[in-house]
Amino acid sequence: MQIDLIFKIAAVGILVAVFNQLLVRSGREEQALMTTLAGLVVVMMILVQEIANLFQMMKSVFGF
Amino acid sequence: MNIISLVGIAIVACILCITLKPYQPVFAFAISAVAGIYILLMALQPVYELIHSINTLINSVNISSEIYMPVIKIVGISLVIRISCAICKDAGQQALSTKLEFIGSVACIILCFPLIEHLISLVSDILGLEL
Repeated sequence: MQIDLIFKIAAVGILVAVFNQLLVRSGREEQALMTTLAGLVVVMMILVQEIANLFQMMKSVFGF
Repeated sequence: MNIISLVGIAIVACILCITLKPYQPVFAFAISAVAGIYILLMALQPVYELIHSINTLINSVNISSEIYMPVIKIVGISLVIRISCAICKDAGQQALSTKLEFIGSVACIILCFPLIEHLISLVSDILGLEL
């Protein structure tokens, strides 16, 4: 089990939060938004892969 | 399946979620979803073995598989629906989760229907009725 994915998502989240604060404080709101969106896309890739994995497993376990 | 590691994953994910929630709620949601999926993936391996042993048990007493397969499928459907509903509720979307529950019960009834037909034809055979 690669449990480090949870830590990866948390790290992306914390980094995005820090960058967001920095960029907002220095008056670049639109770049802060872009940073948030990029981080969101990365996390979504991971999440969707894992959901597909889970549903594949369920299909094989319950015999759909 | 190791219970202690599952509990550890859940608690660590909770702490990370609480830390991230005030700044980036979306990432907190992603962490909780991925942790839930991990826990389920770990728990599904024993479930697979359990279903396998149930299958061999039922095969040994010569019950046809079309009678008990819907039961296992319905268990799977309700598991998927409950997980998705819980994720939707975590994200604060009560309406979506209600619709999902409705769809799940419809799917279960559709899967049950051949069994009900089977039962009714059996009863009418025994009573000698013409349907």
